Amino acid sequence: MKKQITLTVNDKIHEILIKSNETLLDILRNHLRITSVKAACWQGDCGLCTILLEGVPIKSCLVLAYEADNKRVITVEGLSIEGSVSKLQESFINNGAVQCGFCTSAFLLMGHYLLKQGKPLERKEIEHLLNGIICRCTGYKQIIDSILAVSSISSE
Amino acid sequence: MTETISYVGLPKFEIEVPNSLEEALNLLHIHQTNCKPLAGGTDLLVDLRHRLIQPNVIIDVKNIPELKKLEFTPNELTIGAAVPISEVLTLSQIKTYYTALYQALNDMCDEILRNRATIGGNIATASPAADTAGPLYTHQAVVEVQSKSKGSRLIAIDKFFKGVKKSDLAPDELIVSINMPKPTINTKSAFMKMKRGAEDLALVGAAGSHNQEHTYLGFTAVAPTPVFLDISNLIIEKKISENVFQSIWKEIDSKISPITDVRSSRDYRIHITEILTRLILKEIIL
Repeated sequence: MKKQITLTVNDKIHEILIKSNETLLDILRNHLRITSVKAACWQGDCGLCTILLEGVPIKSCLVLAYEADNKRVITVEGLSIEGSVSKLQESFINNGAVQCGFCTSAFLLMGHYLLKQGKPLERKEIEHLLNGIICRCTGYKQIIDSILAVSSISSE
Repeated sequence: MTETISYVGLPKFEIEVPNSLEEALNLLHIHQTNCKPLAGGTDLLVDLRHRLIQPNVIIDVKNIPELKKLEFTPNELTIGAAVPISEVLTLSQIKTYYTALYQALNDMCDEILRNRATIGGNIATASPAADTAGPLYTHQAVVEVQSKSKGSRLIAIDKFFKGVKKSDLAPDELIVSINMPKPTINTKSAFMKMKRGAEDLALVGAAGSHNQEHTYLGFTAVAPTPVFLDISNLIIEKKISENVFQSIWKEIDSKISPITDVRSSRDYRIHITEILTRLILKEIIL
């Protein structure tokens, strides 16, 4: 059975015809061709398909597409105006937080979410809060450094 | 479990989204074993993808008011079956009165999955490693379930688990809420878990609670179902001598039967169970 859903992705409204057994990840990659949302483990372990749904990070492989009907999705493309980078993205560049790049969009979205909570963050806390996303290049230190750098600037 | 690494779509199913408990119970009554309730989906979608289950109908229970309830009254705590763990953690009384549960929830799965995963789902899956099982027992939780055929019934958490991924729930029954009495003053509880990495399943999970009348222990990942023990009669004074510990351990040892798997060997699990028991008792009694 097909169903029409309305999905707002990075402030752009889409009307999409979905099948009941499609996940939000299927829709983002296959229908909207947003390939920054990575598909890897398909079982909620790796965290690379993380997106913000109504502002909250979720793993899109474990959400049915229909559950996102009339909701707002933000992917990494929504973190900055085209042609520019956000403070956090700049921090990732400065700290060399990108190795192969496959996990980068997920970590940027999670980092963006954590910074948006407005609370000062400590290294140990960030380490714990990032436990849902895996970087197999194992460059966690630089990723944490990047988030910590922006967190300490904004709390000054 | 099928070793699936490459992409496999979900099997075909229809979705129903009831807005009331009555409507949901009707759907469960009609579809019985051909349907599965969906709350956070963090277990359900994985099982669907691996074809461990192939229901014709998925019933999304997230719009049902009774299942979204989160309430702390002078007498008890009620957690609706579809309340995400991240939301449960926002209730300050969880940390104050239900320490073991708080410690388990705060460290369960990962920061992102906690925005979707639910306690209702955790016990419905009935995994031997269900992190919330031990704490729920030490807080003497009662599960309210409903169905069209049998109406409402209450299941004490120590009667809920029946085997590996088997619970006391009938196919047409739905978990409505998990309820825990407010603990008496001076009750102390704690949860500890041994695992390999941040987001791994438990090798062994242990929970305990103690007050003047009762001492309860709950263990996970050491038998086909979570293991629960009331050791109130063994605690004679506010001190655990080695002799008393040995009598407690004898009871635990007779009830656990851990397996050897990819996460750890049977012997290591038994060893860790003993260590965690000592640590938990020290935390809640001394």
